[in-house]
Amino acid sequence: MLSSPVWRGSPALAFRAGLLIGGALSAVVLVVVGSLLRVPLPWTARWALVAAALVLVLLRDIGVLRFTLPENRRLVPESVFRLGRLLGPLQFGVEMGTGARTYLPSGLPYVAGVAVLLAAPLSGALWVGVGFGVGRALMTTANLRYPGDWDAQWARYSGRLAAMLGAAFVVSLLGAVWLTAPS
Amino acid sequence: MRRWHPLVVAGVLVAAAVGGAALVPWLFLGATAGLATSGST
Repeated sequence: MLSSPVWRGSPALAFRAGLLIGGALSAVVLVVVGSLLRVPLPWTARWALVAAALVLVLLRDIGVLRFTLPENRRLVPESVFRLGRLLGPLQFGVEMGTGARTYLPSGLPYVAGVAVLLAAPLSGALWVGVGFGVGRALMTTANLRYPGDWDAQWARYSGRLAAMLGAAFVVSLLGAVWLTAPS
Repeated sequence: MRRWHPLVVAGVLVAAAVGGAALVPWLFLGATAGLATSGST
C-alpha cells in the first residue's frame, strides 16, 4: 500500500497528521480513564505496576512467556480512501495512530499505554500520543525513502532493532519515573 | 538514501531518546513504541 503514488505530497502529510491526531486521541482516552483508576494507588504502586507490565511484555517479546495481548488483527481497510485525496489518508493515519485499529507487532505500545493509564499527567499523555504518531510517521517516511525493500531489512534485523528500541524505551521510562517523582 | 535504513533510523531515535530522556521522556516513550510497531502497515 505504501508504494502507491498517494503517499507523496499533501496526502502523505495528511496521513502523518492523522498519525499524530490518532496517537493523541488514544492517549487522552487512556489518561481520562486512568485518572479514575489511579486514585487509590500511591506513586510507588503505580510505577511498580508499569514495571511489572514492562517485564511481562519483554519476556513475551523474547519468547520466554506466551500470552496474547489484545490486538485488532487486521489491516486498516483500503475503503478509507473513498473519503478523498486528503481525508482518506487523514483517516487512515488517525486509525493507525490510535494503535487500536491494526496489528501491533511489538508489546512496547501496551507498556506505554499502562504508563499513560497509571502515571502520566495530561501533558505527558499527549507527548506519548504525539510521540507514538511520530514513531509511526518515521516508519512510513523511512519506508518511502529507502531505495530497497525496507520491510525486508526490518525483518532481517528485527532482533537487533527490538533490542535497540527496547533499551531506548526503558531509558525513556526511567526519565518519566524521575520526572513524576514526588519532591 | 541508505540513511533511511531501519538500523540507521532506529539508531538516530535511540540517540535522541537517550539524549532527551531527562527533558521529554514521554515523547520518546511514545516514539520508540511507535517505531517498534513497524511492519504493521
